[in-house]
Amino acid sequence: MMRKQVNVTGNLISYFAFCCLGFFIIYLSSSIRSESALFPLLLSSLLILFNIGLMANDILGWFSKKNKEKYLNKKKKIGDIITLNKSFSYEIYPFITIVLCIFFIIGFEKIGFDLSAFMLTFTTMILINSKEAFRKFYIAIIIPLVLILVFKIGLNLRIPLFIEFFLG
Amino acid sequence: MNYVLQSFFNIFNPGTLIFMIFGVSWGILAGALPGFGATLAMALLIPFTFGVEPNIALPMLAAVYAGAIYGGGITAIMVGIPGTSSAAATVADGFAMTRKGESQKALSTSIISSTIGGIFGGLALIFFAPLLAKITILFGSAEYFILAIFGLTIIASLSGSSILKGLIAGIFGLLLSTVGIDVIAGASRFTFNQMYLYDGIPLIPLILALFAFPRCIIMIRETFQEGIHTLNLSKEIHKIGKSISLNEIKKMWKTILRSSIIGTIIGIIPGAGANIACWVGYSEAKRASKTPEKFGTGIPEGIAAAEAANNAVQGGSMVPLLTLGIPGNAASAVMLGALMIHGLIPGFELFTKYASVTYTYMMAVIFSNFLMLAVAWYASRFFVKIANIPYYILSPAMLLITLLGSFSTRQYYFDIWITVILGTVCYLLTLAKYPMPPILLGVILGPIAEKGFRRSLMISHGDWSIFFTRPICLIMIILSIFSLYSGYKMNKSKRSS
Repeated sequence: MMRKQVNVTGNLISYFAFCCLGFFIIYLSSSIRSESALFPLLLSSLLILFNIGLMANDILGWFSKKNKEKYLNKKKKIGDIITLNKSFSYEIYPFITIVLCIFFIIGFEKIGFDLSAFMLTFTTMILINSKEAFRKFYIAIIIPLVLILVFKIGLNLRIPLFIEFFLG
Repeated sequence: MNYVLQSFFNIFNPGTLIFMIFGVSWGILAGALPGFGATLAMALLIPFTFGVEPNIALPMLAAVYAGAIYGGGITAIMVGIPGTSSAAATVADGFAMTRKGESQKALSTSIISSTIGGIFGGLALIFFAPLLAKITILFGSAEYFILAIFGLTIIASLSGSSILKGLIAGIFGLLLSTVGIDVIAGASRFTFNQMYLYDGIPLIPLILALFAFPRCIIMIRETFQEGIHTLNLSKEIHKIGKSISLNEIKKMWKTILRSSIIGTIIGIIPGAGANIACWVGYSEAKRASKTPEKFGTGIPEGIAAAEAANNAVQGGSMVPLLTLGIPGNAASAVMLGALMIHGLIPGFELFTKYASVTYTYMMAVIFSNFLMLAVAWYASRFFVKIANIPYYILSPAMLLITLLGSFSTRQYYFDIWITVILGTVCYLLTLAKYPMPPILLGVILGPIAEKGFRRSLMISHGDWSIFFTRPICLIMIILSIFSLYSGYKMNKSKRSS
């Protein structure tokens, strides 16, 4: 029940997003030479068309399900509300991780990979299991070190490091 | 024959061997980790192969694939949780044997049948792929366009819960492929004046955004949603028992051979894959058995049937991939990406101009099974213990590899932004149950489709009937409609069951 509610929201957002994308590409294609714009125009029209099809298909499906759901008892509804509230608490963690990734990219450029990678690893560890993260903080040092060894020394990649900035 | 001999020398090059052993080990470990699987194992390793020669990189990826399919069976046997969906049929008899204290016998049965299945699939690849590749000489631009559409409809109709969502994902991928300089007219499209996008969206950051980044985020989500922090190893792991004897293997040869044939054929059919093969192999073995009631109670034959079938799929699925550029499943789609990264485009040229690399890869599909046998025979238990890594270590490590991996190819910070932004979009799409393989396939097949589409229209002076009047085009259109219909039927039966 709970999953279905989340999917309905997710589906609605995806229809809206894909339709917007389709129209946005049609708008952008107007400024491109006609022969180069033909293929994207065709694809964006198909994207909008399939989205409308999916939307119609899902709406029909939900209506038929709604009739069945009328018969659900009150207890189940209360249970769903509790699950719904619970769900929002864990939905936020993925987005915190994404924000941490953004900070990592900025840090990578400004202060080097070693320090930003340590910060990303350690904060993600804290986010998942703070007790163990502090006990095993050395893992947040080892993982970036191994990657530096493989990519910088093994594959000869130019990875900016804080130690290099520091040592000049 | 010359190329086959040459490929032998390439495989036995010490550098290639070391990379392949690493590939098999990583594959087994990733396969044993629930939620990882061959696709993610290969996606995470591709950045490491960028600076390596294709003669070494591609055999390593073949080894990862073989190892990952087998690795899924280890946790299915030891813990009762299939590491990959292709090992789902192994759980029934595998875990039952572990409970009886016969885990060693179950593991050794799995290793041997996987090896035989994998070798069988590899031999089929070497035999059939060059024959099928000759057909591609007959292809003109119209055929290439319809072929791309055919590949997309197959993967879209069979990779998700809804065909329409699969098709939308495929179109989204095709649209992503239009970013960059148009190769025919030279016009810049959807680049927003970012010079980093002139060559299009780079493939490695894209693969990582599609498969690795959303998986990292989902793992973090799962730790809160379901309280999963690690694999729960049962106490039965300590009771190992004896390995399977040669006599017992001899008794099962028919089952192993039957499953190997089933797995190879299912692999060759685009859109099917190891998930289906393991169940077909298992049910056919049960049907042919004189004692079908014993299946599911913990007999080696049940494991052999499922494992030989799922490992034979690898070789089979490479036949349409190398010849037509149609991947049979998500892992093959990533393999297609790896081929493109190394400058190899599926088709007849793979067997002429790039024959040395292609044959080395095909030989690696066979040889990686021998390596898998050696590594798995001694280290299966060790891999199960490593697979027990807690999520609070695994998730950040994976996240870091993903982000640094996307930086590794061109060394632009912009590429990490691509991974994070596209990865976030893909995470949201995964939540809304959109399949990821059609997006990758759309990006890969997009340029082929567009070139074919525009050149055909130029040849026919704008007449669209060119796509419907050529015999090969017509066959592929019929096959596309059939694949959409069968996908619809399959989804319907899935929902009703």
